[in-house]
Amino acid sequence: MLKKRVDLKFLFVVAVTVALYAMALGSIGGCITPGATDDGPKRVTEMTPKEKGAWFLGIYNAQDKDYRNMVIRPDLTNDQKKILREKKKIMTEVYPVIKTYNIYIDSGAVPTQAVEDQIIQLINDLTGLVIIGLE
Amino acid sequence: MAILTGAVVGGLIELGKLGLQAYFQAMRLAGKTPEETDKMYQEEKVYFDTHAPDTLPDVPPDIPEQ
Repeated sequence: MLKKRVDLKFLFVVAVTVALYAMALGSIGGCITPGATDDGPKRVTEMTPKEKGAWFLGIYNAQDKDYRNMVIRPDLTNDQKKILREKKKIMTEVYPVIKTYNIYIDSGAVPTQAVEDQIIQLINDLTGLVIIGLE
Repeated sequence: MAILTGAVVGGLIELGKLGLQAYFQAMRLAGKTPEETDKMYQEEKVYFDTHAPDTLPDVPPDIPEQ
């Protein structure tokens, strides 16, 4: 019987593969601009305010669901808890900014570049969670 | 590989997840009409409005190291 051993090295390889895959698709990195092709997703800079709004909400909601699923796991390690605490902090910070963005959208106004930049910066901060582990 | 702590691995996994979420959210928007985009926006907004961060459960306390 073939015994599979899941160790840290394996997890590292999986994580790097996933991260590289995502980067190859152009969806992460400093600017978060999904690669644009005729059939693929639009670049964030080409999205309408409403599309950006739906995109921000979608990412936030996915992070929210992921957090809620993770935090109830009984087998969380201290390292995972550390990352989840940071994640919650960033989510608490980004929530009112997205809410402000939604108010602009719902009123038909064009959100300011400053609000968009703030959201993108905070989403980028979530990618900085890897740095937490290095501290 | 001393740098490869559990926290670094966890951070890398988070990074990968976020990247894929960003990509798939953008894919969901691809080719949508303004009406469809509006529908998606409204649906996401309902979840967002009912899940404020103060409703996020706290992370359990750390387990003391042996």
